[in-house]
Amino acid sequence: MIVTRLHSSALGRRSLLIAAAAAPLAMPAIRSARAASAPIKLGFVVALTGAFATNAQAINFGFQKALGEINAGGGLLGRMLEAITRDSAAEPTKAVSFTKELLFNNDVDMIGGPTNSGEVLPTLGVVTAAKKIQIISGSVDQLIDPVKYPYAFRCLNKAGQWFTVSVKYTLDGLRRRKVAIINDNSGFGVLAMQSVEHVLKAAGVTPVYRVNADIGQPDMTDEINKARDAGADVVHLWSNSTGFLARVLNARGQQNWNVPVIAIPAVLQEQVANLLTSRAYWANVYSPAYANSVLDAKGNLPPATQTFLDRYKSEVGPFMAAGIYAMLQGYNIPMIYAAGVRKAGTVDTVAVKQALESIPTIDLPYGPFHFSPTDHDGFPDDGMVMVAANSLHPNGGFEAAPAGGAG
Amino acid sequence: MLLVLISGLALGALYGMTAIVYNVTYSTAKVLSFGTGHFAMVGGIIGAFLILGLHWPIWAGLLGCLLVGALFGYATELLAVRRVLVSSDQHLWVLSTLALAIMVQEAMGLWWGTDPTPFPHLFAQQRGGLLDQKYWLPIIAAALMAGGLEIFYRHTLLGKIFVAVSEDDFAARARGLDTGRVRTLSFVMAGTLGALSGFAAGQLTFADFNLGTTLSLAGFIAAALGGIGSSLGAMVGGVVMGLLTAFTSHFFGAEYQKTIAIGLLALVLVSRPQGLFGRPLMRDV
Amino acid sequence: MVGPAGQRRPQTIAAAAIALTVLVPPLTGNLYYVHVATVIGVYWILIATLNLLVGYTGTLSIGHIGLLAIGAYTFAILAGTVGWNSYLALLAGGVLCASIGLLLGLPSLRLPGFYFAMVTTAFGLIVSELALAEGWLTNGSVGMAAPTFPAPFASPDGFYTLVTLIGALVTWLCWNLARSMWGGRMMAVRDSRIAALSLGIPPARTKLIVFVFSGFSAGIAGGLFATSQSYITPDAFTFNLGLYFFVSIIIGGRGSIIGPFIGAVLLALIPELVGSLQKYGTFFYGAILLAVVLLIPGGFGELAARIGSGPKAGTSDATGTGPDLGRLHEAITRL
Repeated sequence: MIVTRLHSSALGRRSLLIAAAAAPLAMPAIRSARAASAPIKLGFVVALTGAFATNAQAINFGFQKALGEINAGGGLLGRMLEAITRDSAAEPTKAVSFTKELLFNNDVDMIGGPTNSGEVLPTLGVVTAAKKIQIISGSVDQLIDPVKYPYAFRCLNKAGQWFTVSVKYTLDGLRRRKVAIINDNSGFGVLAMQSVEHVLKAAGVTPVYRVNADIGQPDMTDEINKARDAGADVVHLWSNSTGFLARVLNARGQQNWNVPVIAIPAVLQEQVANLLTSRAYWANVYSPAYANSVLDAKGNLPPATQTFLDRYKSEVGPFMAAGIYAMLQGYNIPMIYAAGVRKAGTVDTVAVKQALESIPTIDLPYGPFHFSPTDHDGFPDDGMVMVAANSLHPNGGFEAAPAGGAG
Repeated sequence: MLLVLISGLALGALYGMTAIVYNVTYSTAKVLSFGTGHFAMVGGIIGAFLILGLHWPIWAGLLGCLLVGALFGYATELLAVRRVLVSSDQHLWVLSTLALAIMVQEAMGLWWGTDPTPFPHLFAQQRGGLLDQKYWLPIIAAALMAGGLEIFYRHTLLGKIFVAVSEDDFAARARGLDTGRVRTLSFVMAGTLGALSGFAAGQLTFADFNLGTTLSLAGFIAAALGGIGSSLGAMVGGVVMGLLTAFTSHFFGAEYQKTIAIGLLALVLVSRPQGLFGRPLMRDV
Repeated sequence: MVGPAGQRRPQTIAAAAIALTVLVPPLTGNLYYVHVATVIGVYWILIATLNLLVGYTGTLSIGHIGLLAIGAYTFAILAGTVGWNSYLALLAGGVLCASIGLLLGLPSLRLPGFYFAMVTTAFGLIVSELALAEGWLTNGSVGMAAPTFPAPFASPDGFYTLVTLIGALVTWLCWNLARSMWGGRMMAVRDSRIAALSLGIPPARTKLIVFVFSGFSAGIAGGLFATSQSYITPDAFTFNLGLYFFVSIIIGGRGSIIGPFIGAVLLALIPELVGSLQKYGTFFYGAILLAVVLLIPGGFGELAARIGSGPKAGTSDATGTGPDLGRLHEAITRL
């Protein structure tokens, strides 16, 4: 704190000079007083158009609602939150460019997103170098590294958790060991294939059939038949493309092969059901979904989820198709940041980082998060629950998958 | 294995039809439109929209789809070809048709969405199996199209006018034929045929805005392989492309699809640029 | 460009203006502006030589984005994983892309324009397909980090300086090439292949040489692109970007060096300014391309030339054709 001392005697020339010289020194004091009421700026890079836009739009919805709630409650540390959103159109070059714009042009206090793993990868180095908190919204395991990117945290599960939970259900729940993996040839599909095989190998299982098929291939009958011929008794599907998932399920149905399918949560979307030639093909399909969307015995959603849906019931309509979890995922971003800032008492990056690492649990409708100096992923394995795809209820929830499968 | 063969033939039929559409515009206007595959894409999407979205009966949906195809063909000729052919620069129509194709593809993506959507089931039939209509519909459509065009060119006056214009534009004009009108008509025909092929193959490909570029490329390779200007060549080229794609996907996986396709093209261009049944490409002076 | 002094002045002014603008971004101290300027500079290195290919020889290469990708990955692998000197890795990328240009061009440059355009489009699509599939080389979808250059070009401002220097060198090379006999040769090949042949200019060989040169430059641009992004993944090299290169040249005008530069800058800045209209981006590229082809095939270069020579254009039209009675009289009376 700079203190200006004006000579208390009559204002002579010398005093004027001192005053003139001292005035700029007083500016920081005035500026920090003004800063205390200036908004906290959250930069948000989200792929509202382009690949997986529906998913990102739901995430954006949750994000903006969380922001509104925090502001309605008086803001953070007495300051309002301001979101500066940029649409990266699922292009990594735009994600990098907008991240730099937010950091250097808009002087944001933290970066939320990007929302696709391919876009997150190039931005991590940039945000770390600028020393700002980044709460990423991509699932690929490699994104989080507390050593390389100390200020980056995740707001959802990591992809590896889908695989560990699914393999566990395959081996212990369904009790099947002859696994066929049918993925697409996108980046995620290739990566997922490697990860799943890795998890299976650790349990001593080798897939009987594996393929990275062309994501746009119109007919998947060939792959289904090959899996069947190889003696598979369970099929894994790790593709983010609703079209691809639907086509494989259609082929399975048309070939009258009632093999259980375990797939990525994208298979739970109403969009997939709409692409099926028969809704019956959605049966015997399971997915590692989230406890936040699982119904209890009475058909009710968890209380926190229901509260969110009730509060925004007039607006959630268009985003339900992407899955409740997508909206809650976006809701996480400002909330996690707010928890860290409140504990730290400041927006200083290092302080917030340490605060986040020391909060025992951040309880959110999506699930509980627990970060530590060595773990910036934070989401527990038991936040994921296997559900049956065709158990989608009108309220957006699912029934938990039976332990032994449908038979 | 039989399934791979059948699906390869069906895909090949679609590529062959696209190649035929390339031939239609090339013969009369000497123009190869970048947007040739996009006629099929539009056909598929409009068909799905009219039948599944607006719940029109199938015959009405087909008619509507053909009409839109015809309009699209007309628009292509009007916007991207007519003015451009006046200038002496050969390359401009490549650019203009490319530009129009991009605009149409993007507009479709923005309106219809970027995810492939289902195409309606046309005939009451048990689904699945080798005889599923998604396989034989494109094959029959292709055969009808090739046969129909041959009859058109050989046995109708209008068809013979088309042939005259394609053989020698100047001579035809000297004989009083309005080559401009013929050109417009050929584009309208191209649009209609393209839309028909998209409608027939809709169940195979889904209504997908991405189909445009893929089909323009694959259809062109089929046409180049078979020889531009030959209907038989177009069909043969299409079948070869289709079977090659299906079998390589079966044995090697999908990752090398495009590489193999362009490898085929490169091979053809190096060894026999005019294709299997085509005439020599360039006549210098 | 050779011509009367009156035509040269506006171009010198434009060149000077551009040289001055180039100095601005680092002076603002805003890293975002420096980043945008760096990326435009990198794109220009590719566009400048692609302009010679498309604008001057009239060879429509739409898949040049594939060469950018190969250059970028070569640089990232050699300088990053293998540990070569950055400059050496950059040059290696350029040489590799030049060789690919040779291999691609040899069979296809003799063919009509449409064939070549299709071949290059397919090439561009294949490169991104392979970048994803060959994970052992490229890390697949996870991508790779790209190293920086040694000081003084390591910092953002320093790197911007490096890009500007290379860009200036490439521009100077293209400028001289266009002004020399090569310029006329290239345009002869573009406008009248047969006449060129009759003059002893081999069209296919000319196009091949220019294609190889543009391949080399694209490879260099690729390596610099990788550093500017600091991390590359296969989906950074979209068809959209390749289209942007192409459209910049067409709207800039064939036969002009400054036109495509202005085109490149304009088209790069627009997305940064119109945020919410992002999704219409590709549609607009197509619309602009169509509009230019229909209305001003010569692009802005032609537009500027038309404006520049405007006041003088009237005088030549003023001379009508009519008998020169005075001379006729003189001739008759002298008989």
